[in-house]
Amino acid sequence: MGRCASHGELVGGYVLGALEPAEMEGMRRHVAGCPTCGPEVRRMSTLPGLLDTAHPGDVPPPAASPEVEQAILDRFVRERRRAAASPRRRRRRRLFAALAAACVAAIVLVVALLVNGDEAETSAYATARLTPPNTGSTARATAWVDAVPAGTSVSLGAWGLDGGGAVYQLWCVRPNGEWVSGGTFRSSAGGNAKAKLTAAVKPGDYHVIVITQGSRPAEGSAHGRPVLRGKLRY
Amino acid sequence: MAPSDATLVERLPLDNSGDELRELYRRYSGELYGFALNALTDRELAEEVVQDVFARAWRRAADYDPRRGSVRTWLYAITRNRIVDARRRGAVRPGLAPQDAEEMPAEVDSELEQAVLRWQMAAALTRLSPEHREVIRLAHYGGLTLREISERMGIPLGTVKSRTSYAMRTLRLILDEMEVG
Repeated sequence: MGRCASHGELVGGYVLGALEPAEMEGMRRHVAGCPTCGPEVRRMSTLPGLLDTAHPGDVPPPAASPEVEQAILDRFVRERRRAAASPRRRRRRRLFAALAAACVAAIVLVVALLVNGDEAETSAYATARLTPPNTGSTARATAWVDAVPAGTSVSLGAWGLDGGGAVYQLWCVRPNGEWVSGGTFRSSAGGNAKAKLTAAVKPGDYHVIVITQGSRPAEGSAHGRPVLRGKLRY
Repeated sequence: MAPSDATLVERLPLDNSGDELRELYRRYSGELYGFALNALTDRELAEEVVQDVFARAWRRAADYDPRRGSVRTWLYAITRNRIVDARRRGAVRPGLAPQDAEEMPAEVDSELEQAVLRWQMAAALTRLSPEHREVIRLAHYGGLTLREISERMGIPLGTVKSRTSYAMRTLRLILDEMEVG
């Protein structure tokens, strides 16, 4: 759509009511008969009302923390893996290979029995966002929890820890206050860590995960200094 | 050329690498997170909502119909529902049966719609150039005439007039793309 050569540059100010009174009146008369300005003004006429809904102090959207993106991608990969093994897909395969169904079922059964003794993931899982107990630290972590025959498998991603290979220990804390160790891990030079750990306690028997610094107990405590803590969300 | 939003969503069900999801996340996570944070005023909850939104987006990607609206509108609708869920969860106090908290009051719903609109407008304004944003801010929120803006900014009146018109045209285009107003 072309622009009105004589009044096109006044359209914005007119819609905002920001022209001088004489210009406003002149523009009002012009818009009524101009085939270019008329439709353009109508298209813009809702803008002042929309601008009223925003506050001038509204700031550009802040960014979510980087681990959110990682958590989403991890969740995506995990669900893709699960989907690949979904019962629906197995049923479809059986339809296409009806004659081999019995054999497939038998093979699946045998494999399942064999794998069951290992750390096969079940469908139950929970996540915990771990944050520092004191506000001075910027460390954060996300733990993805799965039930395995041995207890709990915890996939951990942590950021903002002390760098240079500092040692940390993961704990699952039961409601009765008992701390069950999930093992230790080291941070990278940049203070990040990715680890897969196992604790001898079932998800559901505990609701809190704590990460402590150091593999040895702090003075007066049965464990190291807590640096991150979070509740499981199922 | 970068794929369109609709193409990204269309590819999601077949995406095993996570690349399409990552790209969609980079395009929209900022404004959706801002919206969720604005509505929930809790950083952790807002991040959970964003996680849920993108999880739902890839699970429901096949349901997305471009004829019914843009990807942005679709993602905002999912976010809005996740925020309602998050608020509902927060409203369920111990001892209160979940079904008692099933329905959100109508005013909360309307308040949320307003919050969506407000945040979309804020997001649209951030997409304008600083010069365009400034003339709109001074004229609309500051109540100044274009002549007063010209004097305050020390630039010719003709420049302010054309800049204001360009700013408003650009804002209209951005809002059209976002399917707002």
